[in-house]
Amino acid sequence: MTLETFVSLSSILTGYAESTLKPGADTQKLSELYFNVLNKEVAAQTISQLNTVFLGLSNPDEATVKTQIVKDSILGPIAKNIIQMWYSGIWYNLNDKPDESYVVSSIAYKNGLVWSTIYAHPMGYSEETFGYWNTAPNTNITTN
Amino acid sequence: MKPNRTYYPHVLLTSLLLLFCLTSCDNKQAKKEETEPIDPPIVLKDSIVLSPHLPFDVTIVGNDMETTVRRSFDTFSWESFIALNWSEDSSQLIGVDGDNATIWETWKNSGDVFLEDGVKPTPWGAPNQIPPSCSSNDGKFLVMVGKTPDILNELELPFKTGPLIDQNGNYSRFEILMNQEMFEYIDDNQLYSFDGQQAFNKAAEFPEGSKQTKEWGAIMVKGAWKVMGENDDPSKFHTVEAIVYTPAQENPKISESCFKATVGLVGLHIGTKTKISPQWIWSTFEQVDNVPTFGEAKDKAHYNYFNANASDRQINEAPVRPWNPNIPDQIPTQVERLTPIDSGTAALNAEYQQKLRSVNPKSVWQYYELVGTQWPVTPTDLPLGNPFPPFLGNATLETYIQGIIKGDKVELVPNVSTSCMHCHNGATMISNGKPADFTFLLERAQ
Repeated sequence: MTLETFVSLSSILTGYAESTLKPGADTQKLSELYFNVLNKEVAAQTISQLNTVFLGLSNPDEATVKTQIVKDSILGPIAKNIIQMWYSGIWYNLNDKPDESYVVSSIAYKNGLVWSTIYAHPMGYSEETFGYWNTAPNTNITTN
Repeated sequence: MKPNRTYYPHVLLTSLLLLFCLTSCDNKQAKKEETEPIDPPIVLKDSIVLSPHLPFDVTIVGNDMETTVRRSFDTFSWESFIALNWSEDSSQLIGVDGDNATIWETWKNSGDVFLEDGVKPTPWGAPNQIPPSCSSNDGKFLVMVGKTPDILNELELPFKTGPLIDQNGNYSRFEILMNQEMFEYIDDNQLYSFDGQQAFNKAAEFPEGSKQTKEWGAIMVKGAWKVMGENDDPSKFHTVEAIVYTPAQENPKISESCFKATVGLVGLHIGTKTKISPQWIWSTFEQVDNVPTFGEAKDKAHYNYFNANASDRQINEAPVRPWNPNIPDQIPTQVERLTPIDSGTAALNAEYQQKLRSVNPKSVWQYYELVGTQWPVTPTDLPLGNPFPPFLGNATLETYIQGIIKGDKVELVPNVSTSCMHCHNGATMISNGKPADFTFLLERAQ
């Protein structure tokens, strides 16, 4: 699987545009970070299978990805982990061992998609100016 | 004293360039003198221009963030550095006599803006206010010890900051100055006082530099200096005769002191607000012999803030308290750079240093390097605009917050390790908590 394919798949899984997940001016390099985690945590054979199935979709959209990948007994847990990694910055252990789940990095923690989705910021980290809570949240968020 | 003028053949090129520059260059003097004739930039050989003309804004070439765009902002930084370190006499090439007095050192010192009881500051161009206890009233007035004010009695530091002690056991000294545009905004809106800020009662919004209007925006400059001493080669520093002043303090007990010394410039921040980068452009320079980079060769015989024979000293650890600059021969700080200078930036540094050498092989300005430039990549994404690079620090001005050393690796943590924009985004006015537009200076109002 290439990074570009990973980003395409991630876009459908998360609902965020590829240009959001991997912007042209990519200061955070999250896609590379998460792609490396995927390759470290999942067997190459499984990733290859995921790649084959995804690239084999004639019309890769939310419905087909849900049917062919998310509901697959082998690929489904991987896809769900990719979603959770993008949204929370956490890689969850695939064998239900919570102690082996981990925050990918501090960059991942502060950039979890969950925060922009709910118009909030992670605990202990905010880029807003002092007193921002006294004004209406910025709802100008692009997902697609 | 004005240096003797020396003529170089390169200067003759200026007349040939006059027509070109009248139509295409941002050719105003760094000092605000609208009625003065427009000078052309001085082109020496290739594409790099040494010019006394401070750029209004960045000119972005290409769209690759890590190469061409970075180079565009780094070029802006170097052009600013050159213009600000040019002498008041713009016809004199920078460093033509080795060293020269600079424009930025004539700007308004922050200590002369935020006065006791919120008194209105003296007008632009008025001389520095010297403490009565200092008998001499010439030279520079360096009152601060540490990057943040009152560092010696501040017990709740926002970061693990502290004094920086050079290899001769002397405290380094710091100062913050602002250009006329920034000063006038503060002065006109009475933001120099607590009461003035309360009456203002909205977020500060300093003027932006613009190529369209050919106006400069707010610029603030932060200088770090060391007292020149044993093993320091003054031919490699911009030096000035300074009045080094330490105000009296009670806790810890520190006596007022004032002495005159030759000090050398070791670090320089330039913060510039522009139309393209309303979150400001953050440029930072250092003297080339300051520190080695973590994990790289330590092959220089002398560093200003590192001793290869003192491996027992913790790297980037602030001195133990109490902090008192009056004690002689203190243990030097052991400093290493934790974020290496980008290879493209280093290449541009080499080009500018070569250009400065071509003016005069003994130019002190060739011994300075751009550590990096941070800018907002997507400035409309408020408030920060996606800063890049994510981390940037000056070894003399963010010594202790560069990052965390873990074994042979460096860990950089957002909002903890140094990032100009992340940090300055938290700046507010002292009276009402309104955003201060990326400057902590407004917190000094009384």
